[in-house]
Amino acid sequence: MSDHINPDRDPNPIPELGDLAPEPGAGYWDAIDARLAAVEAERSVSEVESPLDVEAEQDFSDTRDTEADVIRLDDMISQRHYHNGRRLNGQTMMAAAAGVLLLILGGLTLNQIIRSSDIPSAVETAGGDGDSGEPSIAADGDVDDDPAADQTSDAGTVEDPAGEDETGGGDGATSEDGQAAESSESSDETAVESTLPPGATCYADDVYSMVVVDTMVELTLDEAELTRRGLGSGSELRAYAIRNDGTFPFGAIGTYFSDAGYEASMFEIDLDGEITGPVEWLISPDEVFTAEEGDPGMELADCADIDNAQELYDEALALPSPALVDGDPDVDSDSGAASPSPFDNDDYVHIFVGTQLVGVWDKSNASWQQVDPVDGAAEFVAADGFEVDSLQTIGTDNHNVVWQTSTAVVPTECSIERNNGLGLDRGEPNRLQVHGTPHRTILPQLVNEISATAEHLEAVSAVLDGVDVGPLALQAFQFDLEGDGVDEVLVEAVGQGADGAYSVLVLRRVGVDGTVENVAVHRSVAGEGEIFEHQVSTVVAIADINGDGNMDLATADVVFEAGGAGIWELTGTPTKVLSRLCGP
Amino acid sequence: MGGADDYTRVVLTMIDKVADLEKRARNGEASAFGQLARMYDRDLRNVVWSVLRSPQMTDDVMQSAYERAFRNIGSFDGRSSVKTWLSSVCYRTAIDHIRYEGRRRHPSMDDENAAVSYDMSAASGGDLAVRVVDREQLSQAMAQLSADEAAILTMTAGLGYSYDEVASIMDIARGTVASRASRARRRLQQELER
Repeated sequence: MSDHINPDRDPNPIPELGDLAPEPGAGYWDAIDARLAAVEAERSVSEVESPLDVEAEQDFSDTRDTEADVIRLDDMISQRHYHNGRRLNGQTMMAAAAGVLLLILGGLTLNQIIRSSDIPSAVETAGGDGDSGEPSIAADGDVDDDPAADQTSDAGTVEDPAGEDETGGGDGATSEDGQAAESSESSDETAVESTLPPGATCYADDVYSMVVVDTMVELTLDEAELTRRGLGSGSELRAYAIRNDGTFPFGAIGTYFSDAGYEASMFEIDLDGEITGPVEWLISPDEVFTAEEGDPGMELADCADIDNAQELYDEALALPSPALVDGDPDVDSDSGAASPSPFDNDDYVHIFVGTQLVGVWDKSNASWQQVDPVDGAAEFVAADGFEVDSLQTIGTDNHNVVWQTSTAVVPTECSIERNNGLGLDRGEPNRLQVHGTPHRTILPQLVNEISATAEHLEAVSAVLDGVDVGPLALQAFQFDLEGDGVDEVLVEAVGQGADGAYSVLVLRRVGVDGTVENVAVHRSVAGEGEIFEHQVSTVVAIADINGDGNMDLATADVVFEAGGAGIWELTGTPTKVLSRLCGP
Repeated sequence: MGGADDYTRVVLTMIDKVADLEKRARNGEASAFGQLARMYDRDLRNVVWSVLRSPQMTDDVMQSAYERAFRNIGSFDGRSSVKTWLSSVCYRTAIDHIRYEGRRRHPSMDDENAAVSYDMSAASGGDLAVRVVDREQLSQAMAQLSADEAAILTMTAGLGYSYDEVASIMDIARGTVASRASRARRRLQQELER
């Protein structure tokens, strides 16, 4: 009755809408009663000694150490994937999650992951007191209030030997750093116990709290949220993201425990704002919970305000590393689907551009390796990796980067007529695909296609150095090449002037003197009679292909009667590190 | 006066009874939880139905939701009513289900539901400019709404949940509930007028 005057309720009820559901079928309540009785019976068995968190901790330890649990989790993931009708998304999740989960079960520590990663994360950069190897939480707390200041601090640290001293810490590695010293002194207890690294950054909202540790993230859900979702008191979520630069949604996987047993989840979150979702929780092999896309995300927070920041971090360090991950859960290694290939090597990250296997990044030797054409049936079974859609086709400002898991058998022979590109049809726009098992440090970062300006045209003219520009197609791409917070622009120009056809790639970057310099990446001008040597190179993708923290360039290359692709390193003097051309 | 006293006494008795059931259910007593479930089942079913639109799926999801809720009732903190909490678990389980199954809606209609006629304009205070529709028409119109819209409209307009309760159940802002409810109502009206 009061509904009509209560402003908290719908003033115009439609009671019929509350009575549309049909009556339950026969046996409905019998089934419910039986399920409730079963739960009651379970409880009575385990009630004597069942503090949830103790059980959970035990389960976790056991799971990490037993092969059986590895298989079980693997199965869980596969099953979830199998049940998920959205194949690409399933693959995306699998690619992001399967490896990580297996890593967690692997044996090495997260610390090793972090140490093995030489990626200068933007988060780490923003971390502030990079001069401290042993900062207090408080000393790190203001990292997000003034990123510029933090960067300055970091920049100073580079030249400060004390900054590399792991024990030099927040307690005055730099005497001028009064704030750090003060923070350290004012929270002696925390400082003594804290091992949060300088790069640790915290995020929180009323639901989540998270500690970002360079390439890893630990996230917890609070009790209320777990309760709301009916997940049970004492549940614990552990989530670890990879390569978080604060700008790109990341895939992650977590585990938590409740009286329902071992559980896992995987999700995507944009640290800047919202869950970019879907946030899918693998409750059990038969149940998946999906949070709503657009759930409120996290905001940067003072680590000191997060009660368990140190605990989260310590637990993260205690977790295994991805280094032990071997194989993709979606690929049955025993299936014999493909014969071994000289390129099937876990140390290799396989790089495809369009229809070409261009080469590999040898992780163990940190080197590019050219893949020469191979006659015969040598094949490569692609696995886990990512894909960058063609810039020309996506029609948006950004790269469309997706995780990609493929079981395609890829011939490595060099034939322009063959479709070597993991399902790409001839004539499809080129795409960059990077596959490795795993190569978690390879993650894409944001690239914006921006409107070409007169400055870009001038840059092309400068590189052409007197060659008539004439009509041309001009494109420009903005990205942070080194992850230092300063954007670079790559300009692509293909044109036909009075002096002949030309193809130019120009990198515009800030030089040491603070001015913008135009650096030629590629320059080919074909005057009369020079068409056989002319090479047109266009941008396929810009991404950190080898995981060194610097963006690399993938190009589609066309020469007379042949086509192929190239990979370029853009730092320092731009260098073409891989190239493959196929043709008659 | 006496009638009012009797009424009050009955209400208080019911409240006591519900409180006792809640307490026993939280202590793990399945039969108590089962009684609570029976008390709220009609509303909870309608919440789930609004999302799933399938009798069989509704039954399945309700069973799963009850089990999940009972399994975790120890974590129910009493900050909301148990009905709101159960509604949240049911709604979430239904949403999980359709996402899990990779389908957005399942507009399966039962002919048996088409028998009863309603005068929506009279029932809803004239808000909806609807003449006379039968249950099937109403169900079909609701089926054209998104799961969220249908659920919000069912809970706010159909079941009388407060905006705050729905916000809690769906984990969205109260203002979002109001705006979505308004939009859903407009869409329902459009569908009924087709």
